[in-house]
Amino acid sequence: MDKISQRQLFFFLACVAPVGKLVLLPAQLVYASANDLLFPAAANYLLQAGAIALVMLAARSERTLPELLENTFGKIAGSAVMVCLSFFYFYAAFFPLIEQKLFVQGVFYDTLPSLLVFSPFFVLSAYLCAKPASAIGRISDMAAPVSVVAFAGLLVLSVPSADFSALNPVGAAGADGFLRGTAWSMSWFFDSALLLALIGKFRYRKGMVWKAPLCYLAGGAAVIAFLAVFYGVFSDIALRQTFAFAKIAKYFSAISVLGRIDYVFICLLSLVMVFYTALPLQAGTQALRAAFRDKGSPAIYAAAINAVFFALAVLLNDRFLAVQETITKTLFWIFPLFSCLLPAAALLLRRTPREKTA
Amino acid sequence: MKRPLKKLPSRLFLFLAAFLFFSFLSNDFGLVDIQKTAIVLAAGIDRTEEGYEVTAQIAVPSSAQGGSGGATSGVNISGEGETVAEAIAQIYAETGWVPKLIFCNLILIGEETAEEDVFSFLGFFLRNEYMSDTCRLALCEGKAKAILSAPAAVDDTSSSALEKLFSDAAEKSGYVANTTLKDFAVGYYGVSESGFMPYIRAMEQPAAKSAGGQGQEENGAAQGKSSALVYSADETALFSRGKFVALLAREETFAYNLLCGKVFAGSFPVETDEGAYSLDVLKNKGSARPDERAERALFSVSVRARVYDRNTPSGMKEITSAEVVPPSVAREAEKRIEKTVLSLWEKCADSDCDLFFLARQLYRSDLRLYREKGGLPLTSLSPSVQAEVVGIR
Amino acid sequence: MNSVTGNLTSDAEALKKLLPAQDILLFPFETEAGMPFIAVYADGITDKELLGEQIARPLRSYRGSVRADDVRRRLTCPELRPQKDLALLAAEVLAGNPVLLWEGMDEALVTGVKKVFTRAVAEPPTDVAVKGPREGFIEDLKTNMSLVRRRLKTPDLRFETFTIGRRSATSVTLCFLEGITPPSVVSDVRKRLAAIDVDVLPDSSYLTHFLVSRPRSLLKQAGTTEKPDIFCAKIAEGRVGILADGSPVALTLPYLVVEDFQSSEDYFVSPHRATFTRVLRLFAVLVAIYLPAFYIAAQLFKLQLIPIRLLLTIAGSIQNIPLSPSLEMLLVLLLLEVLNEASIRMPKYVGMALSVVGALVLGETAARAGFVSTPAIIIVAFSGIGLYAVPNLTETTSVLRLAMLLVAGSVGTYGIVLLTAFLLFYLAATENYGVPVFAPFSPMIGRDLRDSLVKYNLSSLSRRPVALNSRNKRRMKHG
Repeated sequence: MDKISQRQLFFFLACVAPVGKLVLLPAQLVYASANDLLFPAAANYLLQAGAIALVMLAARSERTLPELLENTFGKIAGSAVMVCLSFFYFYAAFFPLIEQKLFVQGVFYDTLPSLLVFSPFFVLSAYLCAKPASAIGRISDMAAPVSVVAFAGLLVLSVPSADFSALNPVGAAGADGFLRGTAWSMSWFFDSALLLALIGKFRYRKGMVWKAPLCYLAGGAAVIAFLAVFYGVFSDIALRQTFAFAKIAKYFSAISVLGRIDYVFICLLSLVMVFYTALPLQAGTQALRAAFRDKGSPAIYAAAINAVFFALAVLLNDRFLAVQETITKTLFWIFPLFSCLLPAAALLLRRTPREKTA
Repeated sequence: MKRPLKKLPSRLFLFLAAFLFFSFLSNDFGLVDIQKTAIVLAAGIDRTEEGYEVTAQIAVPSSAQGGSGGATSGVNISGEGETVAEAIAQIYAETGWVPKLIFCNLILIGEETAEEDVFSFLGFFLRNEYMSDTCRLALCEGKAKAILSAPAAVDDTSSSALEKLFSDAAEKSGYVANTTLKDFAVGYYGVSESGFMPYIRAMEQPAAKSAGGQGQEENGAAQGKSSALVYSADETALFSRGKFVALLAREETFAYNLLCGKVFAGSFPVETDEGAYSLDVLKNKGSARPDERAERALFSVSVRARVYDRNTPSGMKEITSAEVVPPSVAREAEKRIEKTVLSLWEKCADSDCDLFFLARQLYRSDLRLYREKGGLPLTSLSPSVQAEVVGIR
Repeated sequence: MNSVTGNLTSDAEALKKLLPAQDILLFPFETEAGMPFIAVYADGITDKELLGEQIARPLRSYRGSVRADDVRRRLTCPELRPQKDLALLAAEVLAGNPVLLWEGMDEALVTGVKKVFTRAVAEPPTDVAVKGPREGFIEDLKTNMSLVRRRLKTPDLRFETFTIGRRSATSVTLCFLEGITPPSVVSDVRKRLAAIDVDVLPDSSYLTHFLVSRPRSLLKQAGTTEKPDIFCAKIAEGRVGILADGSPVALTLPYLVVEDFQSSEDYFVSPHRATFTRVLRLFAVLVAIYLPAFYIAAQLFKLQLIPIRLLLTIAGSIQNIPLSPSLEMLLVLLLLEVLNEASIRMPKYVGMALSVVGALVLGETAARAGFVSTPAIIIVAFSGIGLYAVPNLTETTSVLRLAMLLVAGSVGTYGIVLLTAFLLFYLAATENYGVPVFAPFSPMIGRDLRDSLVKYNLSSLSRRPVALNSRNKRRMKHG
């Protein structure tokens, strides 16, 4: 049965979702808000937590999103909305994908490797895209402890090198910096939209409407702690520190003797990141399939979508900055539209089909 | 599922496996492996008329009999170019070795090079994703190339001999002030725009060891004629806005380390009317900060020490009882520390090197005052030093 | 359907026609009253002494009627079954059970006097325990069943025997505990066993292919053991067990990956020690799979993974090696596999020599000659030792090690990360008889984690594993 449990959902929110925010987001936040980087992140987390609460309210109907849409708008319009949603997922998938590509090239190789080394990701992603929600839940179960151990390990190694006074003076970036940071980091916050794809696939239980946002905020607290350590370690050169989690722990004193032991944690977090990066693609694949009323094998959808994304990755290989500027600074508003407004709109959808009038 | 589709996964698997095996055998994704790589242990940067000369000290692992690894020696290769990147590319072009900077643990800067903003070339290393910013920085007397190329008296390679000067143990003695590329960059890009690095002097050691094998022979330019070098790093070069502006003497370096609270095993000479003593520092605390109105620079040093009476040789009993610091020695030591800190401060203020990052401290603690004052000119601060020396009981 | 007619000569001929082989013999004898009997038996697998003692001798003085019940009462053999169908009778003869025919009766008696060649019950070489029972299954099904029965003296223990193999007609027994094993699993296994249509079933491992949902999977999907104590413990947890005649290896289903990291000994030592050894086993397997791969990835793509001093030592060692690091590692690994394979198959006295030659040639001479480097040999040696820390998984782990090496040599560390992710995703998504094979890690089952990588006190394990969906949840009163 294609079901995901409450625990798996919470694990995803608290332990898996934060991993996607540890690569380029810290540097981006520093770029926009300097030492006030924690506040835009917190704002986005609060926004998302609210949106997640809305998703949970919508999940009380125990209907899947395609069912709700069909009940409200009819088959064709419902399918059209699902196609739109799937395109949003693909759009949201693009930046994490590039992020991971850059991360891989920067962290796992000593010299810039060919793009081909990144291609196996799409094979794995295609495999994951063909899997139902229950598999996603189980993988979350597995990813959660890995993420916690790796995250804690990296923090333990990096806290001794952090000077938290670097976070002062609070408010130096001003309201402008805060708003800029919040807006420019929205592209990293679309977890509520991912949850939207899962409604009806988990049983709503009492209290989920506050438990789920709380779990998300717990993950958020971990990310904010990470950002604080990150800025404490790098302070005025934090802006240059892309791939934050791969760099933060290298100043630990034992590393000069033992070698880069932090790589153990980096590899573990990368494992979780691989999963998180493929998730929007998986959600998009499932949404597209739902739009076409589950016609055709999921494997074919998965293969086709990943082939397109591989082609896009090749095409835009050297245009990272342009893509980043467009997604994070120009078209950032698309993210709150789908991840905050859509969950609110989902509350208005009909649980039961509209009665046909003669 | 239709028959061709049914077989698709297994065919795809076969294709992937074959592709993987092929790429495994071809072993080429445009990458370099260990056999084609030059592991750079240290880089020396010197200014030339056209640009820069980069001297890379490359590790040459010597294979011992039977295929097991033997001792490591170093070979120095230089390249020139308008930029550091060009100079490194020249090394690659001339030797066929790909210089890998990831293990570069020392960037040695020639004295002349530091007359301009060192970040005109250090930026290359800082921006390089394939270079570790934990590497040490040092300024040297004369040319970096000359120091790296000459054989070291105490180690197989000059870089590892120099590295010993920057060890944790050396830092605890208080006579070297270490910095890394990252820390230096943090100071440079921060509001204080200042930094420091150890200043290296090389001295000839006439009775250089004859052993050292291959390493010394390969060690370069000075082969055969120059004798081995020993180094000192107890002076500290001060930088303001990336330029070398002043040099701290050995005592001032020690005072700086005391103010940073880093000294745990240093010794400190004190002369009193009663005779000469050595204070053995066991523990130390220190701080340097601007006062609340940003008018004074407050320095505070607290030292816990043992004393050695250098006047008369004593028996075991006397030595043991004489370890307690006499009050007169403690006062004299305090005076001496205060005097050295003041001289250190004078150098900093004169050269506009915010060694203690006072501007940064003010910026972080009181942004309004910092803005009101338009930063924190060091000359506007009057120093106030408080030193306390306590002996063991 | 051809049946026994009561005409002794024609019945014996009909049976002989069905069984024309030379080792099928007829043993004619008469009672003192002149009533003729013929015992049809297979030479070599029938206990002729018992046939004479328990069948022929009592019938000599028989003076009763031709009725089967009267004849049966006269015989002293405890296992007697009447049968009319000639084909089934022929099958019994082939199984070693002689068939007794006599004049005037349209029914024959199958006599259970087969000769059973068995080796003694001994400790299995593949599953040695320092503490705990040392008995192991043997090739005889009945003996194996008795070993199980001796440990589970409950009427709930059920044996269901199937005959599988068109030509081998191998007996396969399904064992389970009624009320504990989920009925859905029992009926599913029963259905799959009944549907098996093969020519010959040489070993229980053949059954795995028919009993698992992903027969082509690289990863193991059925538990195996040679020890009755482990077999019974698994059955008592809610699994079904399968014993096959002629095989000392028993299967258990559904399979969980974690069970291969558990050893019977873990339950006879302190929980701390058990936890330590389990973690050690996991570490050993990880070393076996990942060490050669990371070594290669580090050398080819990311030198920083190795501390500088070690790197320089390695660089010194591989300086004059003609092969690339990846090919060198592949070569050494393949040589290890070949040596391993050869030393298992070789007779013991040759095996000893082989291991000496292997150690000398690989370890010393090859390194001296500059074919391979010393670090590569050390890495492979570590990996080789680690592989055998979990003997039940060696087949899977050795292939995984090779796969990891291939991706490490071609894609680098990222390849290792991706392949690991794929394996984990695959494990998470795989189910066997409705039980996720990677439980209790995925899906995470808190209670079952108490006997996974860590082992809690016995008193904390009062419930059967939740993952197995047993109907009877509790196996122990709280201690």
